[in-house]
Amino acid sequence: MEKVEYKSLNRLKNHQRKFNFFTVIFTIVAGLFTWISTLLSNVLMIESGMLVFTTALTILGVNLTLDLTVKSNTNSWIYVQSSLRTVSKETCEHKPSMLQGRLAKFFKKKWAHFLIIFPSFVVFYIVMVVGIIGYQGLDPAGISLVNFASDISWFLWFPLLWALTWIANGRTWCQTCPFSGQAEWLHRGHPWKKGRKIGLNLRWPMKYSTILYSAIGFSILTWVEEFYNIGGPGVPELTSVVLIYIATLELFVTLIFQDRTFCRTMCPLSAPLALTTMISPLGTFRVKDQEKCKTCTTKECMKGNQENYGCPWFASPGSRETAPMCGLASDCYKACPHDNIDWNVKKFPWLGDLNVGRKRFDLGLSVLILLGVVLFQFVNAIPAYTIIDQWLNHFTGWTYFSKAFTPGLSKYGYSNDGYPNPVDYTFINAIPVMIVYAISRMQKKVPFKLAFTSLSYSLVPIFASTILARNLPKLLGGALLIMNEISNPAGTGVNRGIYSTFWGGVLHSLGSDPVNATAEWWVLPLMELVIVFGVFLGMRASRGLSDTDGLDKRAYYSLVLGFGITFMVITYWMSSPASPNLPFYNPLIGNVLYNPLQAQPPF
Amino acid sequence: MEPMVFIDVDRCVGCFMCERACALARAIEINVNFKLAELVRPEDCTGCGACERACPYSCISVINHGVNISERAKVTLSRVRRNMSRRLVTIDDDATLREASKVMEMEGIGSLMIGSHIITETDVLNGWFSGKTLVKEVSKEAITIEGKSTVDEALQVMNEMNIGHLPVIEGNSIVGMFSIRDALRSMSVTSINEGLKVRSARKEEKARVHAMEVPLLSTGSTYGEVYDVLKMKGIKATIVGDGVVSIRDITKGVAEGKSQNDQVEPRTIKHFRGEDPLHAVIGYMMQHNVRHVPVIENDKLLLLSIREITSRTVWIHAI
Ligand code: SF4
Ligand code: SF4
Ligand code: SF4
Ligand code: SF4
Repeated sequence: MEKVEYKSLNRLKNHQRKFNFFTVIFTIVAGLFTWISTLLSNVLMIESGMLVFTTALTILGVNLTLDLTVKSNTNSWIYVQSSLRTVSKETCEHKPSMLQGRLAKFFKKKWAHFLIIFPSFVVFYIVMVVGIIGYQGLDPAGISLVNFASDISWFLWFPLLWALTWIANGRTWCQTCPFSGQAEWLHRGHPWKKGRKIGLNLRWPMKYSTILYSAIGFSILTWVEEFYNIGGPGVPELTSVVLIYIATLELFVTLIFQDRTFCRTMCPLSAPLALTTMISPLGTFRVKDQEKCKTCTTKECMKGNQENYGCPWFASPGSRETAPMCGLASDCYKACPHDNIDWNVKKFPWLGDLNVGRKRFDLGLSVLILLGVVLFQFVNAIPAYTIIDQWLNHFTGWTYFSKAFTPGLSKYGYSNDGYPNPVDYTFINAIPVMIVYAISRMQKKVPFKLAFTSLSYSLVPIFASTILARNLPKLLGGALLIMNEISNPAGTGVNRGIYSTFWGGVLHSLGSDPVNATAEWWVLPLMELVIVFGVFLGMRASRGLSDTDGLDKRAYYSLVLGFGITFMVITYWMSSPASPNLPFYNPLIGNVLYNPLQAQPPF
Repeated sequence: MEPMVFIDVDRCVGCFMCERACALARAIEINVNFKLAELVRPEDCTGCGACERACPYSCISVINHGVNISERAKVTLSRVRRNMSRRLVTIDDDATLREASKVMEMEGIGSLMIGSHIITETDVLNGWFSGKTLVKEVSKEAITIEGKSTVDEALQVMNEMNIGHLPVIEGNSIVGMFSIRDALRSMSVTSINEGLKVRSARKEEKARVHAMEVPLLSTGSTYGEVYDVLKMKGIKATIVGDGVVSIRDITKGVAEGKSQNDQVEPRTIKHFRGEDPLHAVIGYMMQHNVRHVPVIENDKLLLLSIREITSRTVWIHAI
C-alpha cells in the first residue's frame, strides 16, 4: 500500500527533488565562486558570490527544514485555521475610488505600466553605472557623500520605501520596480504588447510555496549590507553590485519560473512590503462585486485574454486575503470584461486587510524575523553592542574571515573587523520570535499556531513604524545632498569639504552633520512620534485580532507596548551625544538621560 | 488507492473555478470565510482531475495513479446524500395525531421529524387505533443514516429494521430524509454496478414476479376493519373491492376526521397484467406517485408494492 502511494506521489516529489538538486548545485557553484574570489582578492566578485551563495543557501535551508518538519506534500502548513468568532465585513461602499476620470483611462492603456516603470528603470541604470565608475572615497565617518549611486539609494530610496507605508502602500514600489519590470518585459517578449511568454514557466513546488524565503532573504541581505556598510551609504560600487545582482537574478528566475514568482516568493522586499501594504491607507486592486465574479466563468483577470495578460502575481481577484500579494500590476483591471475592478483608498485606521479570515503562519513568522532585523539596526547603534560584537569577533576568529572578504576596501576608507558577527546578528534577529513563541505557548484557549500567528500580526504596525523611524535620520539629514549630485552624479572632483557645497551648507545650517553621520536634533522627536503612531495602530489592530481569534487582549497589548516602548527607549539612547562631559554618562549606553535638544540621531 | 488532491493555500484565491469543475462529485468547495478551496468530501472525489485543469493559477495537483475514476463516480452518485430529499418536515411534540396526519397528507410525505425523533404513518395509525391522541405518545428515536453511505447500505438498514424512512445526518445535524421512494428514484439515475455486488432490475423481468397475494376485502369495509387486516398480515396495503387501500389512505382518513367505523374509499388504480414488464410498472408508479398497483394474474387480483421491488429484486446481493 505504502509503496503504491509513494509511487503515485512521484510526480510531486520529483518536482521537489529536482528543484532541490539544482539548488544544491547552484549553492556549491556559488560557494566555490566566492572562495576563488577570496583567493583572487577581488571584493566585487566576493560580494556577488556571497549574495548568490546566501540566496541559494536560504532556499536550500528553507526547503530542507520543510522536508524535515512538514509531512504533508502541500504548503498547508502556512495556513492557520482561525476560529473566526466574528467575521469582519469585507466591503465598504464609502471608500473613495482611485480609478476615476483620467487615472481610470490611463490604467486602461496597455503601456500604462511600462510608463510607470520606465523612469525608475532609467534612474537605476544610471545608478548601476555611476556606482561603478564614480568616485569611491568615503569621508572620515566611513560614508560616501558625493556619489549619486549610493546616496540616492540609501538617503532617499530606502527610507522612502518605508515611508510609502503611510504615503500610499508598500507595493507601490513593486508597481514601479525596474528589476521586475525589465524581467517581465523579457518574459513577455515586449514591454506592453501581448505575446507568447518565453522561458520554462515552471511552477514553484507547491510544498515550498511560501513567503519565508523573502523574509529570511531580507535578513541575510541586511547582514551583507551591514557587513560591507553598503547602506551607510558606503562604497558606491558595492551598492551597484547589489542592484546588478538583484536584476540578474530576477532575469534568470523569470526564464525558469512562471510570471512573477520571483517577486512573490524570493524578492527580499516582498515580505516586508506585503506586510506594510496590509496596513496602508491606499488599498490594492480589488473586485467591486464578489457576486459578479462568482458567476464569471472566463476569469480573464486571472487567465488573461486575447489582448491582455492575467494577473502575473497570482493575486487576482484580490480578495482581502490576497491583498498583500497584489503588486499593482493593473493587468486585471485591463482584462476584466465586466469592469469589475477598482482601486480604493481605505478608511482610517487602514487595518481592514490585516485582520482577515485566512491568516498565514509564514507571514506571521516573517513579521517577527523582520522585526528582529529592525531590532538589530537599533541595537547596533548602542555602544554596548559594539563592545560585545568586537569581543565575539575576536573570540570566534571571525575577524580573520572578515578580512578575507573585504580586500582592497581600506583604500577607500572602509574599515571593519568583523561587524556584525553572525552569531550576535542571528541571536538579535531571533529575539522577537522567541518572545512571541513563549507568549503563544502560554495561551491556553487558542491553539498554538493560531496564537502565534495572530500575535505576530499585531506587530505589523510596530515593524512598519520602527523601520521607517530608523531610516528617518538618513532621509532628513542627508537626502538633500543628492541635489548636489544631480549635476555631478559621479562625484568626481569634489574634494573640498561637503559643507562648502550649496546643499551641504543648507543641511549644516539646519543642524545636521552628515560628515559625522548624524541628523538634526528634531529628527529624534519625529522618530519617537512615528513609533508612537505604530504603537497606536498596533493597539487598534490588537482589539480586532483579539475579537476574531479569541486570544486575551492583554497578550497583544503587552507585546505591542513591550516592543514599542523598547524601541522608543533605544531610539532615545542611540541618539544621545555620547559625551562623557555630560551628566548620566555610561560607557555602555552613552548618555542615559540628556536634553533632547542635544540629540544626534545617527544615520 | 484513494485519489489525493493537493491545494496550494498560498496561491489559491477562492475563485470558484475548481468548485465549478467538480460539479459531478461536488467534492471540492470554496470556504467563503477563508477564500480558500477545500476538499470537503474526500470520499466523493473521483480523482478525475477536472479541478486541476480548471484552476487558473495551477494551485491544484490531483494524484490519481491507479484510481478507477468511473467506478468511483458510480459510488459517489449512489451516496444517500445525493439521492435524499432535502425537505425535512417537522412537527411539535405537543401536536395531535390528527394534526400530524394532516401535515403528512398536505406535504405528501410519510414521516415527520420531532427533533431527533420520528413519527411515521404507521405510528399515527397505531396510536389512533389504540386510542392515543398526541404525537409524543407514539414518536420514536429515529434510526438514521450517514450522508456518505450508499443507497445500497441504506436499503439494507431499511429492510433489516423494516422501516421506510431514514433521516440523513452529516456531521451532527439531520440534513434530509431518505425514503424507499428515493431509493427507487436513484435507480433511474444510477446504474448500480456489479462491483457493489448488487444488480438492477432486468429488462425481461415481469410484474408477476413481485406481485403478492393480499386479502381481498369487500367494498364497504370500515377503516377499523381494513387496518386490523393490514396489521395482522404486516402489510402496507390491500385490495378493497377492485381498488387499493393503503396505510396512506387511512392516514388521510385520520386527517379528514373520519372515525374508525366509517367506510373506506378505495382508490381505483390502473390494473396491470402479470406479463407486463416490471420496468413499465415501476415507471407508472414513479410517475403517478403510487406505491402499490393491482396486478391481474390468472383472473386473480394481486398487489405489487414498491417495498417488494426494492427489498427483493433490484437489490439482491450477489454473494
Ligand atoms: S474577470 Fe472580472 S468579473 Fe471575472 S472574476 Fe475577474 S474580476 Fe471578476
Ligand atoms: S491583482 Fe491586479 S493589480 Fe494586483 S498584481 Fe494582480 S493583476 Fe496586478
Ligand atoms: S480554481 Fe484554483 S485559485 Fe480558484 S479557488 Fe480553486 S484552487 Fe483556488
Ligand atoms: S479530482 Fe475531480 S472529483 Fe476530485 S476534487 Fe478534483 S474535480 Fe472533484
